[in-house]
Amino acid sequence: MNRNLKLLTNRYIVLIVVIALSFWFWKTVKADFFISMVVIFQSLLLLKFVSDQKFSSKLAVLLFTVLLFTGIFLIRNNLDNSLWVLNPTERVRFDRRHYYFAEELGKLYMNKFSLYYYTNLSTFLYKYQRNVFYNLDPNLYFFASHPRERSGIDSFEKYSPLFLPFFILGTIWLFSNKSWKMFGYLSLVTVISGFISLNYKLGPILFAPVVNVLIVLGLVTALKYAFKNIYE
Amino acid sequence: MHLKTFMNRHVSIILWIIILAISFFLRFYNLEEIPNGLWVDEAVQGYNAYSLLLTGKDEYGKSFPVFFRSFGNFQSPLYTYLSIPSIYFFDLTVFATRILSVLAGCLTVLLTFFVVKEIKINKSNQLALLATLIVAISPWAIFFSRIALESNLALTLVILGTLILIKSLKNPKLLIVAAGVLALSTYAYHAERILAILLFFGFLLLFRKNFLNNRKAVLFSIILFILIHIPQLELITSAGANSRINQVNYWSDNYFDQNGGAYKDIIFGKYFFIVKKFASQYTTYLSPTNLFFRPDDQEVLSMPDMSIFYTWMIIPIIFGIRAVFKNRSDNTVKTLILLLLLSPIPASLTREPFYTLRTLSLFWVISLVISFGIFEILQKIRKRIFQFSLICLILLISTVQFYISYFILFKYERSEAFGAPYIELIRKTKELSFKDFLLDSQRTPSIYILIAFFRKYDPSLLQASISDKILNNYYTDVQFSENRIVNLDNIRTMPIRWEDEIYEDKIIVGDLLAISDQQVEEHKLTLLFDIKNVDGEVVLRAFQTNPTKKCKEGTVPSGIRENPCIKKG
Repeated sequence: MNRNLKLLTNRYIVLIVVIALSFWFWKTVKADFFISMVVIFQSLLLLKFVSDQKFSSKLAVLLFTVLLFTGIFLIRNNLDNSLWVLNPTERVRFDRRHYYFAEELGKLYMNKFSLYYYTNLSTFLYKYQRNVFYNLDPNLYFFASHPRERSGIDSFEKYSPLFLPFFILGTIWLFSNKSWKMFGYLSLVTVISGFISLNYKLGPILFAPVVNVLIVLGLVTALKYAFKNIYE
Repeated sequence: MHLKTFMNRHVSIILWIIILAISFFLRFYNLEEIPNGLWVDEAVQGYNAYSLLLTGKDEYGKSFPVFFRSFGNFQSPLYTYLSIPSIYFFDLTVFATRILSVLAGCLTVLLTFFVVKEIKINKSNQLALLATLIVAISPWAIFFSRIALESNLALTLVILGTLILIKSLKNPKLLIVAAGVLALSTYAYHAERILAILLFFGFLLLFRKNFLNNRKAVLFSIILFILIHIPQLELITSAGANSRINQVNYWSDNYFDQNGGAYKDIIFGKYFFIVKKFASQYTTYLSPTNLFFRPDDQEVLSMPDMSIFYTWMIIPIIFGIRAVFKNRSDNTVKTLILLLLLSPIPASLTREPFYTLRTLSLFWVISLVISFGIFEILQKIRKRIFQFSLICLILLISTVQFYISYFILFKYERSEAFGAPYIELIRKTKELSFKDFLLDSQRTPSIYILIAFFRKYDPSLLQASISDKILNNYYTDVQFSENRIVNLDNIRTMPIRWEDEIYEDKIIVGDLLAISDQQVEEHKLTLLFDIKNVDGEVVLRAFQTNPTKKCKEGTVPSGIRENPCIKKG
């Protein structure tokens, strides 16, 4: 019984099951086999990296190197060009706001520095933040962004909503165990993903290993708790 | 006593006073001008209070109703009733209508201090002061305090109830007071009808061991809680009491038929659909995207480019969540976690994607979590000068962001949503009081209330225009007619009837969709004046009819029994 229990709560086996049950993974296999393999590889590495008590610098270097190269590859092929460009509606609003700021702020706005910021930086900063925060929406992964679907973006359900409670449990695990390793990885993924187009057919694929690992940690915690109560 | 010694001894009190002063200023400053205009939901609160003051009845002629019929949404009554004194002292004005919300918002800031003071890690009131500051400067807290909102008043009562609940752990008799306050909050806003019940009984369940020896207090508190609910319970089966939830729920057969998708083909599909819908709604209220970046889609409930919280607050919240876990055995923290988990439930039972008004308690608790996070970060910074610099930086960034979003962009970009063009129109109708006006209400059937408000229309005249059928079926006949004709002095609001209105001498006013250029030409209308928004775009157009010209034309619309030209002579 103990052997079966150990097997059932083996994190790596659970991870394979979670990946196999994820709609996102199979969509990735169909669309880009190479990326799907990277997702499996990164998920395994990340799980080991986060689970190990000791900090392994070799593992960290491997993990972050693969992430960086994958990130660069995705950015090169799917850069969000709208980060620097205004569409017609945005241009109208941009021009109007220039007038508002000039009226209300006077010299505080009408100076070299403020005008440079507004003209050259504000659009990029706003849109980059938009990309970052859209990727941090749990509904994007479990409910295809429902109920706040984004117009013009084809969101698809990446995981069954049944995994949501385990994802939440995994997130609780993350906070209660102070896993700065996971936070570090997540931060880098967030920064890189902000440059990738929201219309990319696979969505924020760099987040897949993070979500996989969190679901696994939540599932394993739940399974251990359930079996502990049954067998004790 | 030396000033320095005095300051050292009383630094907490001094800081507390400064923070309260900041919160008062941010909520009171230019209250009549920003928001620019008056939302119809605010106007109906003010006007009903005015009507009650003068006649003891609401706009429909109902004497002291339990729910205000309003536009068929049966608003909770407490805000309206508590507005009567301010209307009495300040007359029917925008300021008088909003001041209760402002005071409730300031009280929220004050109560925050006392709630956080109960947490054990709060040493020398540092955490309590920080939490008070964060609530004082949070965008959601300032924004919702400056609009006449029932939910803001409800939030204050929920926080007060929560504080008394926490205190009742040491003094069980206070449970009765907490029950009274929470029960009262259910008269403040619809969401609290669910939240207050969940919170009160959830608290009793969570701390049942504390109350085992105080069963009398528990019993009396439950009795009082139920007693206060009696007026609502009497109407619980009426269409009026359930009107709002019926309008916004997602478990009706009709909604499932239209949106069920693949769930319609599986056994028990409706139940799976409801559970999934609830889960998606619930998580959306906890999504970082919606809390820190993406504003509410409704223009009257959000500021341009500003979400519930400032974007930078996503960093301290990570530390704050960790701090909450660390201190989860603290009774106050346990109560706050309970409130955090329960707060999204009422909103999650509705179909709107992200309706901020229904979850103000959630935002308040998250504000406290953010303050815990900032506290943790400050504790890691040893030197006082760096701590002080960090606070100053936070205040500076927040002030700049808020000023740009609220005092500039909001003023310009949301004035139309707050009816500013219509207020300008009302001013024009006063200038031209000798002319009859017809204001198209096809898309804005509730616009009459703005006219009644700003013209201080005699409530008894408005009440007299209501049919007995509505008055006698106040809570049962819930239909709000979109074709309702309302006469207010020289203004009539109704959908334009092109068959006969153009044969009378009047000024017809409508938005750009109401009166097309073709209709202007066809009906011989003459443009009198435009009403523009702050961008200079035309929003409303006012046309003078020319019945003589129209009649000379000789054509009369088919289907009209009497020739209006002959009828009018």
